[in-house]
Amino acid sequence: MDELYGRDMDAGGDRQEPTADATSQTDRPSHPVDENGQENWTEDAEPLTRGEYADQMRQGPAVEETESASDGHHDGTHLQAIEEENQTREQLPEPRTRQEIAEETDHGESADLHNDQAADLDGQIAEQDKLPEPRSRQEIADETRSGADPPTRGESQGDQSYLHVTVVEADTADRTLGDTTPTGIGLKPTGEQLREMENEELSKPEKLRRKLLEGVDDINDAARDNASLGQDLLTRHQPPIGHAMTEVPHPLPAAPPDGGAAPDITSAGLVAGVLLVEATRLSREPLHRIAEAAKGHWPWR
Amino acid sequence: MPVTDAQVLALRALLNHAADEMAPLAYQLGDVEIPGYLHLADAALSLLACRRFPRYSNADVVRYVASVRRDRLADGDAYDIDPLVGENVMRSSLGISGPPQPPGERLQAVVALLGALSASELHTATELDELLRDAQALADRWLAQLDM
Amino acid sequence: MAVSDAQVATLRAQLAGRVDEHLHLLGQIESAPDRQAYSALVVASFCEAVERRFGQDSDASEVVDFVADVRATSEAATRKIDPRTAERLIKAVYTDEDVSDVGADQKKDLYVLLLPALIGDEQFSGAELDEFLGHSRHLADQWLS
Repeated sequence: MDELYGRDMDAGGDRQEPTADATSQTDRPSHPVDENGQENWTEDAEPLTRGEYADQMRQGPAVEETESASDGHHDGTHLQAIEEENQTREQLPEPRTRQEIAEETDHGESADLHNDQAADLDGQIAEQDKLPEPRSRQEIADETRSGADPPTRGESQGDQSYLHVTVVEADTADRTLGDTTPTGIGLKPTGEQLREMENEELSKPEKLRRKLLEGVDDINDAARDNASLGQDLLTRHQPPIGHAMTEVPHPLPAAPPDGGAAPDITSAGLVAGVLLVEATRLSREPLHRIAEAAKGHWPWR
Repeated sequence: MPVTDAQVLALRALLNHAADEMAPLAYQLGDVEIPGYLHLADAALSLLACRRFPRYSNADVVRYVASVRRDRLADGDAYDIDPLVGENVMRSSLGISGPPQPPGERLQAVVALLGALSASELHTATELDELLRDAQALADRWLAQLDM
Repeated sequence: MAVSDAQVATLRAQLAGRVDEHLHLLGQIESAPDRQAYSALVVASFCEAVERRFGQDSDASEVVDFVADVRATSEAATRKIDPRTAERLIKAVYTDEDVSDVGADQKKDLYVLLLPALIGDEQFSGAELDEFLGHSRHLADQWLS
């Protein structure tokens, strides 16, 4: 079977001519040519391997070998040709720096630009100059072979620096809803963060409205019920009209407060705790220092 | 059960603002003697409140408790007391019975008011001794009424 | 929706000490939208008055003193005004104080009592009261828009 040319074998194994229609004409691969551009394909020729066909198409050796050397169609010159080609590629000029490009551009175009535009362009170029210079292919290859990590920001190799990216691996509980990526695409904000985000986004009038006005749709009844007391409060600093408030003298309480009921606190520890807090206020010392000082008076240490 | 010397000693430390002693001396009383100590503290508060307000009005109570709170807030929010509880404790100390107060908040108000009143009303060791003697007598009278 | 001149006149009457006129005008605010607008005006006036009195530099003790002074006016004021809630509502105007646990009815009572107390301390002239209400109306209109 002639795989290269798409010819089908009939049931008897004879080759069949391809049908002469437009489709087949379009799909039909072109015939190989020799170095002079002449077709060197013959109907009866032994079928070429893919490598041979590719060689002929390119008029040069194939880059990749697809057939084993035992086929007998390849020799050492093939590999040499590969190396030569690679060498040629490496000899291509190194990419110019942005500054070089800018200078060429500047010389060619600045004369045609308005001064402001030239200044803008200089500014843009200056910004671009802050970016890392492209590395040569050899440098990239060397780094890759050495297994070195690419430099990060702040670790510039000469004038080269790279943007540092921090990856946070989120635990399942911390992940954003629906996040099933291996490391997590982001952390869920906490309730406090959500509240802060909401508060930051709202204007002050809106915050006040939500805090103080929401739910207060009808104040009329409260206004009516408290109108008289409101009037008293409005005028509370004015001299009182009528008799002054009477102060009632009192005897010493004959009974304990709260009707003499036994205090609900029966724990010496609870009382001591309240007194410890009071002691911190009196002494202006932190609690642990007061507690430490109080140890001298405890029955045990 | 009459007031003991240990209870008087513990209250003396409180009224004297002895920061290192007031808590441990109260703790040493143990759970059995703490109720007596609290009665003694109430008695001292009543004596001091009546000395401060020989005649009083509702406005006096409201404003005084607010002044105590204001002074304590200057030291930190943790030292604030419940204003309604404070006012009720003051009124009961002045002989006006009122509804029972939450025990913890009541104790904090008693300690705060005792601290403020002792600072303003007691100026010498003698005055402190006389107050403690009078408070012990008043508390014993109350306890005797409870035992009857 | 926006605050109307009639609603401003209603609140102005109260803050100028004309209680009867205030109650009469209050009775004419009947529809739900009008009541809502009047509520916004009262609350906005409360916010303006608090900002004017306490602003950003006051500390907790100033608020304690003010509320105590208001409550000491009468036994009715002492009973009606819960001191801690009143202090928190005032602080909520200029701090991050959270008052979401305060019920709407309690808020309403405190607004209509604390507002005249604040205005009484200002001792406004007529023109100053008009200017104050102008600022309040502006804030209320923002809320209602």
